[in-house]
Amino acid sequence: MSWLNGSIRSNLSLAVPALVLALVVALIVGIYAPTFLLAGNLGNLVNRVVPLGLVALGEAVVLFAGRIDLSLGAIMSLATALMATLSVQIGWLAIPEVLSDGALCGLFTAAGVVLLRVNPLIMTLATSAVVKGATLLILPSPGGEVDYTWYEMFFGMDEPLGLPLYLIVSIFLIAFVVLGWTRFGRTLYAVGSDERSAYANGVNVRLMDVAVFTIAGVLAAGAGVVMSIRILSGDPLIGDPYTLDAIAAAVLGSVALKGGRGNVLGVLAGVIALVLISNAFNLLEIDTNIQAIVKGLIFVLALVFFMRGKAVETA
Amino acid sequence: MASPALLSLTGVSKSFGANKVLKGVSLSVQPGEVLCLVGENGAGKSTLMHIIAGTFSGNSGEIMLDGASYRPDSPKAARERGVALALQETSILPDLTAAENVFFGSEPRNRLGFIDQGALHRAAAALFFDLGFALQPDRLGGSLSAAERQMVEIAKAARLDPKLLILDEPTASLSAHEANLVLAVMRRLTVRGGAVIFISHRLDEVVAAGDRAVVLKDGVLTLDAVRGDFDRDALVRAMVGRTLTDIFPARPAVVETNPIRFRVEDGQAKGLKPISFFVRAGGVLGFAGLEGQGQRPLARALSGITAFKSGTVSLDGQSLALSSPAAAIGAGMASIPDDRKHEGLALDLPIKMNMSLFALSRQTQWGVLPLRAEREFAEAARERFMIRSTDIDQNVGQLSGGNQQKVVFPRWLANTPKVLVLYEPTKGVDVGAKTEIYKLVGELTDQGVSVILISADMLELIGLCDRINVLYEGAIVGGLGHSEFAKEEIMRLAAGPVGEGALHVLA
Repeated sequence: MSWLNGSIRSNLSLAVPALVLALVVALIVGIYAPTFLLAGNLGNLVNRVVPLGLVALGEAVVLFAGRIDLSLGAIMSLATALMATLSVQIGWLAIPEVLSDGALCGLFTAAGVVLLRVNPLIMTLATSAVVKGATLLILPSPGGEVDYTWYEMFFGMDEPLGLPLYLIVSIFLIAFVVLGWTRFGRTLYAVGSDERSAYANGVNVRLMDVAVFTIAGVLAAGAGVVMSIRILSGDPLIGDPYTLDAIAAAVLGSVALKGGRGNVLGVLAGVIALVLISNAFNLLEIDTNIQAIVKGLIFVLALVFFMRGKAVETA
Repeated sequence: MASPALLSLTGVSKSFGANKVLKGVSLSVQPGEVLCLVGENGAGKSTLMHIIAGTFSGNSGEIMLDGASYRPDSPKAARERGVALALQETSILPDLTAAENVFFGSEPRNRLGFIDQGALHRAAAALFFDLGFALQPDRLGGSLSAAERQMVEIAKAARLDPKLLILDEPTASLSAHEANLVLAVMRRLTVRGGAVIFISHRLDEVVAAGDRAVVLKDGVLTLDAVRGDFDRDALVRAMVGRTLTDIFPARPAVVETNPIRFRVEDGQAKGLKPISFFVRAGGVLGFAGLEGQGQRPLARALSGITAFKSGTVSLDGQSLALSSPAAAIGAGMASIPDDRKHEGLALDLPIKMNMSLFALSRQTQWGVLPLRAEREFAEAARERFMIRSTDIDQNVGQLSGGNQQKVVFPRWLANTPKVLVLYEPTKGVDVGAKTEIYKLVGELTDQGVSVILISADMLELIGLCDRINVLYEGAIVGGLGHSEFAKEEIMRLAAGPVGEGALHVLA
């Protein structure tokens, strides 16, 4: 297995705790809520994994490079609003259109980070405000329309083995290969590992900033496209919780917030664990506000348990 | 030297604006030779090196490589002609393995265009073996020691089998033992016919490793001599126009009747076995040892950052709890850390604020520091310590390493301390700045201040101390009084109780 040598192996080993966590949660839920393993619920789970998985993947790419993006939830909302207005007018063309709008949002962030040297945390918060305002102008309240045939085509009969599953698995596999075995991926980790060293090694750091925020914008918009098809409409606020959930999934997957470390398979496991936990809450009929509180606490716990390695080593 | 020169420079000059950094430098490097380039910070060493490595261009004069004209306009162009530069350890990527660091940006790829991790790590293992490095290629950069990072940096440069390898202060942050590994690699490269330009502040290494030494002073070559024709004194004279003995202050012997100022008994901390020592008023107590033998825990315990877990500490006969930096400072103990950038300085703040930080708390009025007092204090300190800066409002981050170190001193000396703890006070500092720091130690001891000097610089310890304790694995394995000082004896103790094996490596 020499192709797994080096930093890839050490990054991959970081994904193990998240995989174990996902399995343990699945086991517990399976025991206490028998409906969990029904095909309908499994299909439902896959459908929930797809949008969060896309946003979390985008967030992970940004985090690998040592940046953070707080605008992905807003971009996702914008995408649903655009889909709900455009898909009836221009049909399938709405999808590339919306994805490139996501890229534009990412470029806006990159412009602030690269040209104005604004801290990514602050810049993406600003992007988030701008995007949210634009979204509410386009679609002030949930509504619009996405044709039901699109739902049938993409989600089919909500069976577990369908297009959504193939989509998310193939996107994560592509990301796994590109980040691990290409010079682009290596450079991405290098920037997150130590920006100044990367620069000294000839890396164009600004170009990498443009790349990661654009990729994240496109993936968040993709999540919005999927979400709008699922709810057959647009919702200007639906993406809000996804920003934190995506960061939480990445952290659960042992992605270092300081950058340079983590593996997308861990992120996927983190996404699955989060979706299972919230599915369990629903099956156990726990109040949604309580759910929000518990999710926040899980995030803090994840930070405590999964960030320790990195913090200790850089000290 | 009958063989034609590999590299020859004739009348090379370079200016930045009105500032003439190099003034007609001529020198040559023979194949298979180690050329040592020595000079104070700002003497033009790095400019010269970067011209040869292609980072700077636009110089006047002629450079020949292998008998052909040589004018690289980029590091890449220089590399293509067989000239490689190994930077200081700072460009290692901590989350990539040693092998991935070595091949970063030119990873071997398979037919599909994907990086071949197996081939990459095998190639790195072969390269390390070839260079004589005992280094696992799959260790992560962040887990490497300073010496290992330097090895990776050298391997990066040596990978392309350059005709000329330029090493910029590769040993600056290494212990004597680790530095020897680097010197061994240089020899290995020259045996194969390559030439090395070696830049170092450590004159012992220059004498030991240099086939030829050149000294730059203010952009002019002041010495160019082959092995045997130069020694430490000659180098220092050429660098600063003084001899080595002049750089240490003449201090009267500390009288045995001087009261004991500071005493630690059975002080124990993590990485430190119970140790006992004392220092008299006006005395200088040194701690020598190989890297990582308890120096850092000792320095941190004495500054109160990580307190002694057990044992007693007393100052002027009064017992003292060094429980926090504030307690230490309050009792009159000043500590200057080795990691100035992280523990000692705020790089983004101006000189005056860095100097006055904590120092002027006694001059505050209703908790407010009068800006005039800060300004006057900083102006006086800048003059006293001869800090080279545009003014006291310049950010510390823009100063050279030696000048940064000088900014730390006034803060602790605004109110003369009773005990001054110095941890590697001259690391990365040129001879001129070193002299200033040594002079200051002399002045302070004249005033009765006791100094504890923890250092890897043997000359500094011998030149300043009344007594030297040697640390090994967190314990004091020996102490030498002033009359017993000899490098060999200190080295013998530093190598550990058994000594023989380790001594062999050091020799």
